[in-house]
Amino acid sequence: MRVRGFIVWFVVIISLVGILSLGDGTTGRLKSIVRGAFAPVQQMVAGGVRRTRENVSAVRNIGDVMAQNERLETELVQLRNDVLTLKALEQENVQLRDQLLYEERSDRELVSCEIIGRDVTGWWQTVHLGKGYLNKIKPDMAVITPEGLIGKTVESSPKSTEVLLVSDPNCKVSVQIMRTGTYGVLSGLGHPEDNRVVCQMSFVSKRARIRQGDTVITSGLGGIFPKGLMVGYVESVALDTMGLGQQARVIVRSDLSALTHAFVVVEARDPVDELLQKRAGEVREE
Amino acid sequence: MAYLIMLFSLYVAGMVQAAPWLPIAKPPALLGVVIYYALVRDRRMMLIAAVAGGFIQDALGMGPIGYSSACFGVIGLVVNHFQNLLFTLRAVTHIIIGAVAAGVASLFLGIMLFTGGHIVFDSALFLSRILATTALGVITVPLIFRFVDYLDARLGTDGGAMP
Repeated sequence: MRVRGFIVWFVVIISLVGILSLGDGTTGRLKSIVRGAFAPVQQMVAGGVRRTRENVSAVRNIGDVMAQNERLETELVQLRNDVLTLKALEQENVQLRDQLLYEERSDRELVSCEIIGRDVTGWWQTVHLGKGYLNKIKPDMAVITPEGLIGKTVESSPKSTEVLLVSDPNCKVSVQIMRTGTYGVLSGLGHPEDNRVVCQMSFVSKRARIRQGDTVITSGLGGIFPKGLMVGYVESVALDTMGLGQQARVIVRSDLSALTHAFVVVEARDPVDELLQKRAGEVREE
Repeated sequence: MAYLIMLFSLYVAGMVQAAPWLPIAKPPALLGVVIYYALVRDRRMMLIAAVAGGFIQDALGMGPIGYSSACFGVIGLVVNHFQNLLFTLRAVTHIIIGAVAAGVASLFLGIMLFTGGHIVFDSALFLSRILATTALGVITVPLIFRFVDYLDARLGTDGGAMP
């Protein structure tokens, strides 16, 4: 009996040591298998809950439908006018691009995904998307909603992808203030404050004149996040603890606690970067 | 059949824990399954549940595989050691053990992840997460216990001892 107990302990300890010392590749494959087993049911459950919520909401708000219709009609007229103005601007833009020998701007290719789960431990701020590398999604791609940036992909399996949200302290994003062009690095604080997602913008020049309410966008540096994605706005600015630079508190525009859908930016070629790379290649050839 | 019930229970618990409408604190459902096996079954089944439950938790999260299995294994062994001294079928036992085990598991896991350089330490955040998980353990563990026990009773294995 004593020997049997010893064998059980020995097997358990050896198994644990074996599991803990698995390499990244094996860990990734194992995670992919487990996530693959969970993803279809998670998708089904998340979709069912969403549809139920939508139906309940539709029944509840049935009285507001007329008012909503009127508001949408007004919005439609305004948007039609805006489209006409934008068409003229687009034409002008094309002409200017031709003059500057720019290649045609490639549109960002977005993959729409449903949020099917969140981190199971609570130690990270992550969400799981219902699409994976079968839909061209790979690690280190920007993830956005119509409100703006929400994070980046970190691990992808065939049918699901894990996204590290901007609210997590491990997620660092190179950003800039739209008004001044001032650069900084954004990282999450890990917890919401007054139901808002607050991040910290660090390494901001001491001389930069940042104001409350300034819009924060991605800078395009670092290669993961394309330039110009909306992130949020500045709430307050202060000198950092060493007095060498400034730190800004940034409120993220997207509501990360109520995510149902997101878009993964699978292709985001910056035409300026491409042109510069092409020219650099030509110079090298010469 | 007993192992199929265990696997199904762990799958359901994993689904509950990964639910997208629970943004911050997580109900320790997988730990609840481990505690069920620690309270009413032998050590071998408990250890299998602990390793499998921990594996699922780590695979669905961002952490390295094995950390949760180690936490669940240690907690399961302690609970299993005192099995004969506890009123294993009383709801109050599940509530108390659920709270303590959830808090301790969260603390152990947090320390392991921090020492492994996987998370950034923030004392307020650390404490709030442990307290939130403890509070959720009070509700989750008794419910999971009932669920697994019900499955055991319905499918004719040697569990299902709850009144």
